[in-house]
Amino acid sequence: MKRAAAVILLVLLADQALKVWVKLTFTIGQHVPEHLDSWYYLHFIENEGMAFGMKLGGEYGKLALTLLRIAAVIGIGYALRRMIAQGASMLQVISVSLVFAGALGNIIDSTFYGMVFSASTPHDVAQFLPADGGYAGLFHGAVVDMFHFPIWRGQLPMWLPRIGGSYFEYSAGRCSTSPMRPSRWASCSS
Amino acid sequence: MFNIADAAITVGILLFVIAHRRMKHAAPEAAIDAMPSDPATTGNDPVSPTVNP
Repeated sequence: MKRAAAVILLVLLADQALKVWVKLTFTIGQHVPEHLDSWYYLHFIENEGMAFGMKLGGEYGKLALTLLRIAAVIGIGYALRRMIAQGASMLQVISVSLVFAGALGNIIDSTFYGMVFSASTPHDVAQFLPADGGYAGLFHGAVVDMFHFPIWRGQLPMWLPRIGGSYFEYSAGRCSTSPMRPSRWASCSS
Repeated sequence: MFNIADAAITVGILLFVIAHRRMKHAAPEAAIDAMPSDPATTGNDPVSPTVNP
Protein backbone atom coordinates (compact mmCIF):
# COMPACT_ATOMS: atom_id res chain seq x y z
CA MET A 1 0.00 0.00 0.00
CA LYS A 2 2.84 2.40 0.89
CA ARG A 3 4.64 1.80 -2.43
CA ALA A 4 1.43 2.36 -4.38
CA ALA A 5 0.82 5.63 -2.51
CA ALA A 6 4.42 6.73 -3.13
CA VAL A 7 4.14 6.03 -6.89
CA ILE A 8 0.83 7.89 -7.12
CA LEU A 9 2.12 10.89 -5.15
CA LEU A 10 5.36 11.10 -7.16
CA VAL A 11 3.60 11.00 -10.54
CA LEU A 12 0.96 13.52 -9.44
CA LEU A 13 3.54 15.96 -8.07
CA ALA A 14 5.75 15.80 -11.19
CA ASP A 15 2.74 16.04 -13.52
CA GLN A 16 1.09 18.99 -11.79
CA ALA A 17 4.36 20.88 -11.22
CA LEU A 18 5.24 20.71 -14.93
CA LYS A 19 1.69 21.58 -16.05
CA VAL A 20 1.43 24.61 -13.75
CA TRP A 21 4.88 25.81 -14.82
CA VAL A 22 4.02 25.47 -18.52
CA LYS A 23 0.61 27.09 -18.05
CA LEU A 24 2.10 30.11 -16.23
CA THR A 25 5.16 30.47 -18.49
CA PHE A 26 4.17 29.58 -22.07
CA THR A 27 1.71 31.17 -24.48
CA ILE A 28 -0.44 28.77 -26.53
CA GLY A 29 1.68 27.25 -29.28
CA GLN A 30 4.99 28.42 -27.81
CA HIS A 31 7.74 25.84 -27.97
CA VAL A 32 11.21 25.27 -26.53
CA PRO A 33 13.77 24.99 -28.11
CA GLU A 34 13.01 27.70 -30.66
CA HIS A 35 14.81 26.09 -33.63
CA LEU A 36 12.77 23.66 -35.70
CA ASP A 37 15.13 20.71 -36.16
CA SER A 38 15.18 19.41 -32.59
CA TRP A 39 14.18 15.81 -31.88
CA TYR A 40 12.02 16.98 -28.96
CA TYR A 41 10.05 20.03 -27.93
CA LEU A 42 8.19 21.38 -24.98
CA HIS A 43 5.24 22.71 -26.96
CA PHE A 44 2.27 24.05 -25.04
CA ILE A 45 -1.19 23.13 -26.27
CA GLU A 46 -4.49 22.59 -24.45
CA ASN A 47 -6.38 19.38 -25.13
CA GLU A 48 -10.14 19.59 -24.63
CA GLY A 49 -10.81 16.03 -25.63
CA MET A 50 -9.53 12.54 -25.01
CA ALA A 51 -6.42 10.76 -26.24
CA PHE A 52 -5.70 11.11 -29.99
CA GLY A 53 -7.57 14.45 -29.97
CA MET A 54 -11.01 12.79 -29.96
CA LYS A 55 -13.81 15.00 -28.67
CA LEU A 56 -17.36 14.64 -27.40
CA GLY A 57 -19.44 17.48 -28.83
CA GLY A 58 -20.49 20.63 -27.02
CA GLU A 59 -20.48 21.78 -23.42
CA TYR A 60 -22.30 18.68 -22.18
CA GLY A 61 -19.86 16.49 -24.08
CA LYS A 62 -17.00 18.02 -22.12
CA LEU A 63 -18.88 17.55 -18.84
CA ALA A 64 -19.71 13.94 -19.74
CA LEU A 65 -16.07 13.27 -20.59
CA THR A 66 -14.86 14.63 -17.24
CA LEU A 67 -17.49 12.64 -15.30
CA LEU A 68 -16.55 9.53 -17.31
CA ARG A 69 -12.91 10.05 -16.33
CA ILE A 70 -13.86 10.40 -12.66
CA ALA A 71 -15.93 7.19 -12.80
CA ALA A 72 -13.00 5.38 -14.44
CA VAL A 73 -10.59 6.56 -11.75
CA ILE A 74 -12.96 5.41 -8.99
CA GLY A 75 -13.11 1.98 -10.67
CA ILE A 76 -9.32 1.79 -11.05
CA GLY A 77 -8.85 2.86 -7.41
CA TYR A 78 -11.26 0.16 -6.23
CA ALA A 79 -9.47 -2.48 -8.33
CA LEU A 80 -6.09 -1.34 -6.99
CA ARG A 81 -7.25 -1.64 -3.39
CA ARG A 82 -8.61 -5.11 -4.04
CA MET A 83 -5.41 -6.20 -5.75
CA ILE A 84 -3.33 -5.06 -2.77
CA ALA A 85 -5.69 -6.85 -0.35
CA GLN A 86 -5.42 -10.07 -2.38
CA GLY A 87 -1.60 -9.94 -2.35
CA ALA A 88 -0.94 -9.06 -5.99
CA SER A 89 2.69 -8.86 -7.17
CA MET A 90 4.64 -5.63 -6.77
CA LEU A 91 4.82 -5.16 -10.57
CA GLN A 92 1.04 -5.42 -10.86
CA VAL A 93 0.48 -2.94 -8.02
CA ILE A 94 2.95 -0.42 -9.46
CA SER A 95 1.49 -0.74 -12.98
CA VAL A 96 -2.08 -0.06 -11.82
CA SER A 97 -0.82 2.74 -9.54
CA LEU A 98 0.75 4.42 -12.58
CA VAL A 99 -2.51 4.20 -14.54
CA PHE A 100 -4.46 5.53 -11.54
CA ALA A 101 -2.04 8.45 -11.03
CA GLY A 102 -2.06 9.36 -14.73
CA ALA A 103 -5.84 9.34 -14.94
CA LEU A 104 -6.11 11.39 -11.75
CA GLY A 105 -3.54 13.89 -13.05
CA ASN A 106 -5.63 14.60 -16.16
CA ILE A 107 -8.82 14.80 -14.08
CA ILE A 108 -7.29 17.57 -11.94
CA ASP A 109 -6.77 19.65 -15.12
CA SER A 110 -10.22 19.13 -16.56
CA THR A 111 -11.96 19.64 -13.21
CA PHE A 112 -10.15 22.64 -11.70
CA TYR A 113 -7.88 24.39 -14.23
CA GLY A 114 -10.79 26.23 -15.85
CA MET A 115 -11.61 27.81 -12.49
CA VAL A 116 -8.12 28.71 -11.24
CA PHE A 117 -6.38 29.92 -14.44
CA SER A 118 -7.20 32.63 -16.97
CA ALA A 119 -7.22 31.65 -20.65
CA SER A 120 -3.91 31.05 -22.40
CA THR A 121 -3.74 32.70 -25.82
CA PRO A 122 -1.04 32.93 -28.53
CA HIS A 123 -0.13 36.35 -27.07
CA ASP A 124 -0.88 36.11 -23.33
CA VAL A 125 0.37 33.81 -20.60
CA ALA A 126 -2.31 32.57 -18.18
CA GLN A 127 -2.64 33.99 -14.67
CA PHE A 128 -3.26 32.00 -11.51
CA LEU A 129 -6.49 32.99 -9.72
CA PRO A 130 -7.34 35.95 -12.00
CA ALA A 131 -9.55 38.72 -10.54
CA ASP A 132 -12.33 38.22 -13.12
CA GLY A 133 -12.50 34.45 -12.70
CA GLY A 134 -11.12 31.50 -14.65
CA TYR A 135 -11.61 30.65 -18.32
CA ALA A 136 -14.21 27.91 -17.69
CA GLY A 137 -16.40 26.40 -15.00
CA LEU A 138 -15.98 23.31 -12.85
CA PHE A 139 -15.42 20.13 -14.94
CA HIS A 140 -14.85 22.22 -18.11
CA GLY A 141 -11.10 22.82 -18.04
CA ALA A 142 -8.65 21.70 -20.73
CA VAL A 143 -5.79 19.26 -20.18
CA VAL A 144 -2.31 20.80 -20.52
CA ASP A 145 -0.06 18.93 -22.97
CA MET A 146 3.55 19.81 -23.65
CA PHE A 147 5.73 16.89 -24.81
CA HIS A 148 6.33 16.68 -28.54
CA PHE A 149 8.67 14.10 -30.08
CA PRO A 150 8.68 14.18 -33.89
CA ILE A 151 9.25 10.63 -35.19
CA TRP A 152 9.31 11.50 -38.89
CA ARG A 153 9.03 14.74 -40.78
CA GLY A 154 9.53 15.84 -44.32
CA GLN A 155 7.93 16.95 -47.55
CA LEU A 156 5.11 14.73 -48.87
CA PRO A 157 5.44 13.59 -52.52
CA MET A 158 3.73 15.86 -55.03
CA TRP A 159 1.70 13.01 -56.57
CA LEU A 160 -0.40 12.64 -53.40
CA PRO A 161 -3.86 14.16 -53.91
CA ARG A 162 -4.67 17.31 -51.89
CA ILE A 163 -1.77 17.08 -49.39
CA GLY A 164 1.05 16.50 -51.90
CA GLY A 165 4.01 18.84 -51.41
CA SER A 166 3.01 19.84 -47.89
CA TYR A 167 5.20 19.51 -44.81
CA PHE A 168 4.28 16.39 -42.82
CA GLU A 169 5.17 15.52 -39.27
CA TYR A 170 4.45 12.21 -37.53
CA SER A 171 4.99 12.40 -33.77
CA ALA A 172 4.17 10.69 -30.50
CA GLY A 173 1.07 12.35 -29.07
CA ARG A 174 -2.02 13.28 -31.03
CA CYS A 175 -3.22 14.72 -34.31
CA SER A 176 -2.93 18.48 -34.13
CA THR A 177 -2.22 21.56 -36.16
CA SER A 178 1.32 22.84 -35.87
CA PRO A 179 2.23 26.53 -35.84
CA MET A 180 5.88 25.63 -36.26
CA ARG A 181 5.89 25.75 -40.04
CA PRO A 182 4.58 28.79 -41.89
CA SER A 183 3.85 26.98 -45.16
CA ARG A 184 1.29 24.30 -45.98
CA TRP A 185 1.52 21.33 -43.68
CA ALA A 186 -0.15 18.13 -42.61
CA SER A 187 0.39 16.56 -39.22
CA CYS A 188 -0.65 13.37 -37.51
CA SER A 189 0.52 11.56 -34.41
CA SER A 190 0.33 8.15 -32.82
CA MET B 1 1.30 15.94 -27.76
CA PHE B 2 1.18 14.37 -24.33
CA ASN B 3 2.08 15.02 -20.71
CA ILE B 4 3.51 13.13 -17.71
CA ALA B 5 0.05 11.75 -16.83
CA ASP B 6 -0.38 10.28 -20.34
CA ALA B 7 3.13 8.79 -20.16
CA ALA B 8 2.35 7.23 -16.76
CA ILE B 9 -0.84 5.64 -18.14
CA THR B 10 1.04 4.20 -21.12
CA VAL B 11 3.92 2.83 -19.00
CA GLY B 12 1.39 1.47 -16.47
CA ILE B 13 -0.52 -0.44 -19.15
CA LEU B 14 2.73 -1.88 -20.57
CA LEU B 15 3.92 -2.97 -17.13
CA PHE B 16 0.52 -4.53 -16.40
CA VAL B 17 0.72 -6.58 -19.60
CA ILE B 18 4.25 -7.72 -18.66
CA ALA B 19 3.12 -8.64 -15.12
CA HIS B 20 0.11 -10.54 -16.50
CA ARG B 21 2.29 -12.52 -18.93
CA ARG B 22 4.77 -13.34 -16.16
CA MET B 23 1.93 -14.58 -13.97
CA LYS B 24 0.59 -16.78 -16.78
CA HIS B 25 4.03 -18.31 -17.32
CA ALA B 26 4.58 -18.81 -13.59
CA ALA B 27 1.22 -20.56 -13.05
CA PRO B 28 1.94 -23.82 -15.00
CA GLU B 29 5.40 -24.10 -13.40
CA ALA B 30 3.89 -23.74 -9.94
CA ALA B 31 1.33 -26.41 -10.82
CA ILE B 32 4.10 -28.79 -11.92
CA ASP B 33 6.04 -28.14 -8.71
CA ALA B 34 2.91 -28.83 -6.66
CA MET B 35 2.28 -32.24 -8.32
CA PRO B 36 3.08 -35.33 -6.14
CA SER B 37 6.38 -36.98 -7.03
CA ASP B 38 6.35 -40.26 -8.95
CA PRO B 39 7.52 -43.12 -6.65
CA ALA B 40 8.76 -45.17 -9.63
CA THR B 41 11.29 -42.49 -10.55
CA THR B 42 12.16 -41.07 -7.16
CA GLY B 43 11.97 -44.24 -5.09
CA ASN B 44 11.08 -42.45 -1.90
CA ASP B 45 7.43 -43.36 -1.49
CA PRO B 46 6.92 -44.01 2.24
CA VAL B 47 3.97 -46.37 1.70
CA SER B 48 5.34 -48.44 -1.15
CA PRO B 49 3.62 -51.90 -1.45
CA THR B 50 6.99 -53.52 -2.17
CA VAL B 51 8.12 -52.86 1.37
CA ASN B 52 7.15 -55.73 3.69
CA PRO B 53 6.55 -54.69 7.28
